[in-house]
Amino acid sequence: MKRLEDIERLSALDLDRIASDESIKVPATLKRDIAITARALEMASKEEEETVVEAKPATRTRYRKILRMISYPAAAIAVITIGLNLSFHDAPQDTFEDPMLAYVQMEQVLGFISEKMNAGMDIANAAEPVLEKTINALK
Amino acid sequence: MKRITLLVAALFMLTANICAQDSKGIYNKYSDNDEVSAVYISAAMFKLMGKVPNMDVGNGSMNIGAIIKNLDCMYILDCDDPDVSANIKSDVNKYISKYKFELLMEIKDRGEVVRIYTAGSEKTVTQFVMTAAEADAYTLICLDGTMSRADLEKMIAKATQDME
Repeated sequence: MKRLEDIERLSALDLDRIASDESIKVPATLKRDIAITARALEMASKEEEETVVEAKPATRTRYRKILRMISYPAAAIAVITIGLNLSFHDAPQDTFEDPMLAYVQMEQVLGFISEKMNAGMDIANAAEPVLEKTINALK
Repeated sequence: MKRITLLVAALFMLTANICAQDSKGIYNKYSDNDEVSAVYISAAMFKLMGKVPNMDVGNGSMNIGAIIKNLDCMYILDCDDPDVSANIKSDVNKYISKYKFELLMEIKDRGEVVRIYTAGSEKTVTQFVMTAAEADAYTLICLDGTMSRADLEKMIAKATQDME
């Protein structure tokens, strides 16, 4: 029996000569075997195509689900961002146009804060001797 | 579609609610009220103020430059109307309880309750809120920015000395 490489090396003349050699018997079932193989190949390729077609809707559904899952939070974020943006654009107007006046106001505010804190510290300082006395009595 | 519309409306309301519960939201809500005196100083104005030299105000001179250069804004609301005062107080209390404010000091003196709150870290103060509530009057002072706690304390101590 010839190997495939040997057959490939043969020239067209050699192949013609071999084909016309009637001493070599052709199997009787060759034609039927070829037809069966061709049919099997055809069926196999069809089945493969069907599998791909069936798989597509599943993938699509998954993508749609993911898309839907993402779209809701994305829409919520978009609405909140728009809302916050609108709110931030609604910035109040400066009360003072002159920085000197703003500075004076700022100093008055800090003075007011310190005055209130000072009042608190005075109360705390007045209570300190009483607290010390109580701590000493407890000792 | 109806559900989506409701959801969008709810989200807008939520956003509006969130905004109304910060210092700017409270300021915006009450600053136009006739019974309220309102003062707002923006970050841009603070930058301009940084160029102003020290001035003598009241009992002495104060260097507030260290603080104001880091301030983003200041809101003041002052009201003598009992009803409006109660509303501002309620909104401020909601705002204070919602965010991580620390009560720095509470002074109760002759019917007036002064509370000082700060928010931020151990070294920096990002928000300073002072409220002074009387029977029918209310004052709110909010300072927003990134202030060094040490600078703030130093400046308040200096202001106290100048006033003595």
